[in-house]
Amino acid sequence: MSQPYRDWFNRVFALATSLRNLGGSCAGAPMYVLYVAWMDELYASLLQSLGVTCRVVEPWPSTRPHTNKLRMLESVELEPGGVLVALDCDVAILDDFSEALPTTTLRATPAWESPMRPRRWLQVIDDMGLRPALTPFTMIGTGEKVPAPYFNSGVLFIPQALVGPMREAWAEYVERLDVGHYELDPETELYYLDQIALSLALLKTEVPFEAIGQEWHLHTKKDLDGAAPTSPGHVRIAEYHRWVEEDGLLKPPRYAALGPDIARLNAILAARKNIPGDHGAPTRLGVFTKAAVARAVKRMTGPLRTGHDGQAGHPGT
Amino acid sequence: MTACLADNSEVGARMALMLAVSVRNLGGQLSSSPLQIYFASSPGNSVHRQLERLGAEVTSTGPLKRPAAKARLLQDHAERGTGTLVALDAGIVVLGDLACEANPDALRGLPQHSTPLSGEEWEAWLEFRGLPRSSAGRATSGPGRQVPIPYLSSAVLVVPKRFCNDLASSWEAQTQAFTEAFSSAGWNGPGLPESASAFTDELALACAVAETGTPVDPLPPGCNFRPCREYLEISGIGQVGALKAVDCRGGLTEDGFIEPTQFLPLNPDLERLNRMTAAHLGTLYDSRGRNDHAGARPAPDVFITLRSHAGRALRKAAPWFLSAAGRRAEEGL
Repeated sequence: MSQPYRDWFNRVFALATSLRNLGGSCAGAPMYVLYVAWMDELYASLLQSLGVTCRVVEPWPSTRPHTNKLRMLESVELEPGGVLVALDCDVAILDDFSEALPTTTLRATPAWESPMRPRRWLQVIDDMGLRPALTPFTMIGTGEKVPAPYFNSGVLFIPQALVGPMREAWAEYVERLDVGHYELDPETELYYLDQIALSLALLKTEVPFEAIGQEWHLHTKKDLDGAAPTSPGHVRIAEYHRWVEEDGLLKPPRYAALGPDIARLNAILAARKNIPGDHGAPTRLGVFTKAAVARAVKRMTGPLRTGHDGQAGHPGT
Repeated sequence: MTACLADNSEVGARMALMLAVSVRNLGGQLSSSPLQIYFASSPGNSVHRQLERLGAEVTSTGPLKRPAAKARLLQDHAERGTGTLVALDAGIVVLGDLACEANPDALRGLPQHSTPLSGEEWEAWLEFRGLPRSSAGRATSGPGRQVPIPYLSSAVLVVPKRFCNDLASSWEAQTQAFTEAFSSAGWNGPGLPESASAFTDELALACAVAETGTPVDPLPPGCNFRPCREYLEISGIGQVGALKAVDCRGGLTEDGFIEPTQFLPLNPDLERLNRMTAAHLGTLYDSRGRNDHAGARPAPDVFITLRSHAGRALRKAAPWFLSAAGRRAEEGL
């Protein structure tokens, strides 16, 4: 999913470039970008050079823009036996991820942490007329166990046969949990409407699901060199969220082992976008120094600001 | 599907990698289609890994000489491929969507303006081989002397699947005939100039097209563009049609990258490809010292030195900057 603005284009372009250059056996896979409401034809033509098909879709009828990702489950053609790999646009492919392609189950990485405590989960599950999961589900960052399969929806592997049932159930709980139908806490819970709805949808349907490790979906800003519950193996897919430069190059990851892969992707992106300079493996100090200089120059030359510039939507949708 | 024939030399492997990089990044519909690279024998592990990362399937043809190996691309596509085959030599880089050039009813290739055989030699050969003449030929063997056969460059061919099987078989047979003619001491057939032996695959392709009666639809020059042609240095981008495939075999540097060409508007894209290939190889790319670096513009040494000291200098000056900003804020209020 994407929106037709420059920083969104940077993310989608990075994703498409990473897939085509580093995706291994998946490098030549069909790729679709769904734009919400409208798309910039220039950006679409730039993506077409990477074999990306761009489409315009209507916003999902919800108060939360993250729910637009449900459009991915209805706007993409899949061959029988195929797999929908539904990605947030602030995600980069670092290596061949074909090992993760399922045949019979939905696969995703558990969320880093849960927006609701177990007691609150039980209340919501009960209010929806569902039963909690037989086996508690462990959050990958905090280690907390919750009574529902709470996944990060930024990277989903869905076999073609499960896409339809998944879409129906997910749509049902998005509607039932949204503002006006249910009281999710607007400060801590409503932001995660899509993921909570996905969790309940999995509880209701008989869609089999499987939790996969962080190597299939790792956040580059997470520091795993400290006392992490589990350390990932060779990372194939990374999410960087806003941990990205203005020119679209990724900032150095806090998980040091990921550095060379990010550097390789940055070198390819810099070459493709004609960004001058050596984009080997920038040091964290170098990046922070550069950011500090940029802030100092802005302070000296920019207009006075009383707030921060908002961003239309959220990169995760 | 895209297929490429490369040789096992270091340069050949480098050109195959560049082709793969160009197809995946600039190939449009080709970006999201299968890509096969044929080598005579299995290339080294690092070449394999680099090509596999780009989703290329690496295949060994075995000890086939180049003319026969080209026909192998078509044969394999006839057996296992789907849709149209875009068959490329390894020195080609793709800059646009060649898939748009497909014609389901014809073979597409760039007609050559001249052939290595004279009109009389062609006549004798066609007679000897019992091949039909064609009025579709455009090539000449001299002023006002059109040759009776469509003579295409084999570097870029767009071939619908339904023509692949017959064309491949005939191409192989015609190649065999030409090889015998050029190499056999006791050859009884029409005499052919030895210099023409370097073009065996294209001579054989022309005869295969004639024998099978495959319709030919000429590709525009931008689909097999040779940037060494005369007067390109005075040509603007408006004089040349869309450039979708460029033949870079004539201009590789010592370190295996593409040299700037005479056609200046092309150079930024070639430079971009050089940098992307270097990124795949994990090497630094230095465009300084190349004749025309209209693409990447690396900072001069002095700026690199200054940048490395800038952080230290700015941290020292930061308190002054901050107090200056504070004074501006007060004035603003």
